[in-house]
Amino acid sequence: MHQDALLFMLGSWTVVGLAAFYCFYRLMTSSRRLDD
Amino acid sequence: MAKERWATRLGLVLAMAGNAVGLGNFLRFPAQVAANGGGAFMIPYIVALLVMGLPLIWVEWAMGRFGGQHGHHSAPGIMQSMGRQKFWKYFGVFGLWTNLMVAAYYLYIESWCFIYAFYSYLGGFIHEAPGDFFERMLGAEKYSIWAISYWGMGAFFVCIALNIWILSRGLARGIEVVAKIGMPLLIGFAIILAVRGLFITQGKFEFQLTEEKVKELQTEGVSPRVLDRLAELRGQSLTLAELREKLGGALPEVKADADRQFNLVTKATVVAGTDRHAERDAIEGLNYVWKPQYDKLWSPSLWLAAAGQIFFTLSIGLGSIHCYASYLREMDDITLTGSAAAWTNEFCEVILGGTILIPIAVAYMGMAGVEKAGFGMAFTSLPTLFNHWGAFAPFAGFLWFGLLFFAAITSSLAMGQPIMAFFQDEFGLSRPRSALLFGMLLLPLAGAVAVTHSSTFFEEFDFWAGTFALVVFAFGEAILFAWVFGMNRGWTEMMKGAELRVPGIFFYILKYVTPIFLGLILVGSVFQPKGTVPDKNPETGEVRKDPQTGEMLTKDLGWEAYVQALVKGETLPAWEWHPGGMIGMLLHKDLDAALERSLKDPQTDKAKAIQFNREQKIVRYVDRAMMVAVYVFFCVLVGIAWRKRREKVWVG
Repeated sequence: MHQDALLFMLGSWTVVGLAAFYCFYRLMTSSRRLDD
Repeated sequence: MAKERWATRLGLVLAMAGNAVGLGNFLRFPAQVAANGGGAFMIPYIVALLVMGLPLIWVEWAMGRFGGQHGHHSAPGIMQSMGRQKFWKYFGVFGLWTNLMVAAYYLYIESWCFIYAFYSYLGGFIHEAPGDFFERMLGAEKYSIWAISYWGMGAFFVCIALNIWILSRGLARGIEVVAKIGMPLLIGFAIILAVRGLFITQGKFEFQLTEEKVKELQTEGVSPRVLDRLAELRGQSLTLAELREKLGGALPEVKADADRQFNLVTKATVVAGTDRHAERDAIEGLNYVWKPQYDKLWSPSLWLAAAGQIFFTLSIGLGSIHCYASYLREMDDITLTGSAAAWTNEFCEVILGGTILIPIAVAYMGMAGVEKAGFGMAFTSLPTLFNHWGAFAPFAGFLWFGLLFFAAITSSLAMGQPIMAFFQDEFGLSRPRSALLFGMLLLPLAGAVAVTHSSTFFEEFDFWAGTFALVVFAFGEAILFAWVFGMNRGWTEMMKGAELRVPGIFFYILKYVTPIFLGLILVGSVFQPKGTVPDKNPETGEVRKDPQTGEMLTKDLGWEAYVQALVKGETLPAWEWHPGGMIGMLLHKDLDAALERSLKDPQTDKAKAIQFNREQKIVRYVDRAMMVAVYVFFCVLVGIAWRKRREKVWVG
């Protein structure tokens, strides 16, 4: 795979993945439960 | 009447994410990235997400929660409660109108996914080409304005009935349950397909044919000429394209039997562990999607395309987010919950959406085959490609169309809820009655979509409601929130109960950047020019010519042509409306361009094509009248509802 393409793909995946993970981590550790 | 609420916070996040995750995530996004600069597309995409997408998501959630506290769960009431002037409730009608118009054709596509999922599972596409099945399902015929397929329409109405039934069960027992089942299944299906797809390895063929294998091929009926050619290839290692080229001279002799014989040869010579149908490795598809074209980064078309994609993928400007958020309590968090839903959508789009369609298509069809990748390919090509997966093929088709169906239904339910909420709030109707009324309003529009050629009702609803109206509504709500309701009040409203501290810079982004950004998109799409310029060879600077006719070739660059001319100090290109722009669509430039293309084809029946073009324009006047009538109808209902409210206050 082209190096630049790999860089952009993994970079975009990392930004999106980390942001989604952070939001769900915060939701799960919030004082209001997810199943409430 | 007891106030409806979401049962759980997870249910709300999944319902909101389900609203945003739609067909566009899997069909539109990869095609947009590949066509607009590859990896470089992600720079304006992320910028648009930060300066327009996320701020508008928070605005819509805040507006919805605010309206809900004042007893309104649909856009007219929500906007009126913030704007006070009469104008805003009529502007808020966009939040009903757009949903109804989009639902009329979106549910049609949903029904296609439903049919395709089951037809794939039953192995239907092993025996029938998906393109033929697609035509049969639509009932479309060349030069006919009508497209009637009774079973296709039947499935469409089953989908409408299913949506109405789910909506009638309410938020917690209907929409939330579907989101909790549909979203995990959708993500699971997508992961299975992406992983399986990425393991496709380019077919390799080696020619160490034993006597036994040659005899086997002989008994199967492979022609002596082909066998001779195979003997010449002994010891060589070839790819699929090379094999096709090498056998090119021998195969035409067997004509009708060529495909079967080629198939037998590939089976006998394929290297274990490679896919004998694959032109390339699927990973090359990722390369195709993501390879950055840095020169495109300064093109205004690229920035417009990225902003447009953010817009559609997050379901901004529909009025459905307002509606869902209106069922929150005053101090419920919106910043963290809204962000979680938005980033879940981004996960489904950027990670999953870009990893299925194009890599599989590139693997089996090569680069040339995916140039027109997108909507049609999902229905007309992909099932054939799944057939290369042997026994897994029916299941793969079921997974693909199943995931599209779940993506579609979680979005279509979000289109019905605001309309139902309007009838419940303003006319006191019960949930089942308002669900039925939504169905009754939908039927004539959906019926028109189902029986006519896609260039009329279907495309027009998609353009005017599904594209143009979203930008108009979002621009209006950005102005309302930041400048009419007031940014200070708006910010305080947004931060009530917030579990995620939004950085202060977003205060200024919301006040200045988002409205300007949206205004530019609006102006850009209303006055979109064709921007036709000569197609020059970048190295020599010479204008390219058609090898057959010798005519000078041109290309349409849109706004980019004018920016380039201004920067270089060259003469501006002649002004012509773009067929896909608002004014271009209004003047039927798209139909005229299609007619021009078809008249160039020697096989076209010219008289019929011209007559068809005329009929398309007539039907478009009818569908436009229908769209205006529906908007006026909702305005009248809003007027009546508010008069009733005033009378109630006086009597009370």
